[in-house]
Amino acid sequence: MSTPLLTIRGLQAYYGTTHALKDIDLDIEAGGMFAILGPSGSGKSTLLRVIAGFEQAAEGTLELDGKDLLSLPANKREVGLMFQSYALFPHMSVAKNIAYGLEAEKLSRGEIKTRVAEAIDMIGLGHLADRRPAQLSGGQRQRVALARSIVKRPKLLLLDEPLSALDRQLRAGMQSELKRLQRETGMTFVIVTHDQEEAMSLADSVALLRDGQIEQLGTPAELYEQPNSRFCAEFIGSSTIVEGKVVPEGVQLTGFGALPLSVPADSQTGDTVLAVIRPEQVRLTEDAGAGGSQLFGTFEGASYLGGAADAEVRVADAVLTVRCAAMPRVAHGVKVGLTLDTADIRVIAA
Amino acid sequence: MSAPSMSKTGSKVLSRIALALLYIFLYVPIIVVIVMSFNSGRSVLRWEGFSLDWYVKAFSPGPLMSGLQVTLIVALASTAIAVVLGTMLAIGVHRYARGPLARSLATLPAFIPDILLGIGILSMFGLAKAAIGLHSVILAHASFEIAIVAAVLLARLGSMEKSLEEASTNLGASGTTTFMRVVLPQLAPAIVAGAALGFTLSLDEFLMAFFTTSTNSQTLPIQIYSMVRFGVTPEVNALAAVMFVVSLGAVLLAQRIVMPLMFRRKP
Repeated sequence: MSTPLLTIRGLQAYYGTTHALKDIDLDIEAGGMFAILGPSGSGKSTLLRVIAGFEQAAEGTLELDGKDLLSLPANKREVGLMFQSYALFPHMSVAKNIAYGLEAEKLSRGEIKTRVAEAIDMIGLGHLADRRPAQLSGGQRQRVALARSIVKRPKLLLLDEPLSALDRQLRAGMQSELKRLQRETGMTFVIVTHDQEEAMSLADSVALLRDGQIEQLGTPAELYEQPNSRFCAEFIGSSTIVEGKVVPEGVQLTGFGALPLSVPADSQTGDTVLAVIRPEQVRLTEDAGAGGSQLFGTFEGASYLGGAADAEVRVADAVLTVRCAAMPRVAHGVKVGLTLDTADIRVIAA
Repeated sequence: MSAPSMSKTGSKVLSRIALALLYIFLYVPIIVVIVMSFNSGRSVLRWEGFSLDWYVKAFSPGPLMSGLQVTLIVALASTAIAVVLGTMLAIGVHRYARGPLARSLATLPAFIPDILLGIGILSMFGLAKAAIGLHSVILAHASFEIAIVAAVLLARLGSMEKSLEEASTNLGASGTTTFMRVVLPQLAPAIVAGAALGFTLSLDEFLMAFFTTSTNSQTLPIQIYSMVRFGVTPEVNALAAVMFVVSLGAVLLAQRIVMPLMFRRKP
């Protein structure tokens, strides 16, 4: 395996008096998109600011391409940062904004001109080069902010909540644009976000942060399908978490009966465990008398998703969300049949 | 026309009249001064014909001209000091001050009664056994102008996006480059506005200048005051008219810059 681009070891940092980062170890490989995901207060913003050089680390090491970053001032690190607010200079034109970082490097006028022109072309805003940021739309501003960072060819580009300021229609477009820019430049993009959808759709790998520590690290699919904790299961995607006990034939879920679920390797009969049931792991049979159903529940309503629907079905104390191909035609309070994909349901230690 | 709409029109007319009366109350004295400055006679009450004589007289060498010279020197020098120190003060308070006390103390001198500042500066010079004169007036005026410049700049700094400086740093710029190319251009309109306000207030400041000056460096307001003690002379009218136009220009300039600053939302 090649050496990682960014190596973080034993990183500790304080934000005011809060212990914001507690012993972070993380490797980020060169190329591709990495996401640092976490709720507010998880320490992800502190981590971003420590990498960029705007906050001090109390302990630990931070190496970019084998070079120590913590001893370098913020303006000498080869780490780009796209701010959530974009932070474009309002008194400068698009072209001037993009040229700013190259002028700071004291490159020749000719080279600056060529590289700015390339960058503006890359984001497709050649016709707006002389506009001020205030005259641009949100999506255009974001592209300028990206170009301003990319034109400096940093080894690593940090993106702070890159999609959160955009409305729904723009998000999908910007999502593929980010992927395209990452591919074309070959740079390593690190997205820092609280939005699991943003992280899941963009990144190849995700580090989920909780309370200043890495809760789980993996591909989006791993985090979704094999969460290691209740926190991860609840934070990523939707799920219903049902408590149960390990029995010889699988798991005895409260109100569900015994189900043939695979349990964590270190668990023993009698241990309390949690089953993470995702909406697509449950199938609903409207006619409870049709037979073949594993268990029964009470229909409590459904919401239409466009092309699919999520039904709410109560089984004992739990309310399962069930993904249906079409809106179920069942009245509220009616008994329905349920079948679980027992092979896919993840069971974690309580 | 129905009754309610009639009374509505009526009250509209009434408020217009009230507004007009208010403006008359505010500006009639100034208009009288300006009109009488063109009077050919010596009387300040009776119009005797149009003439520019008093302007010629006001601007020929004499106490008024020496006063104007002192006033302009004081206003320019104190504004220059205030722009530099007020900007430094505002940035320092904005960056490093914890809590509202430092912030209030930075802008308070703009609101302290002039007489207090005047006496204070006079006694300070007395304590230090230093001579008073042009320099003490300049310092006295600078003291409240610093607070004015700082107040305007603090308002601007409060609405300025903090990440702009960080973005500049992230793009490889040094602290000096960031200040010159990002912070200063953002502050420039506020600095001009603060300077214009300070300059205008210094032009006609009387109390502090009266307390802190010596007999050979009397500012224009003091010269005028000593002249009108024996009755208003028409050349004072002429000079006052010129000063009014200059002040109005400075205030309009400041307003054009300050108002958008105060009411503009963050981008």
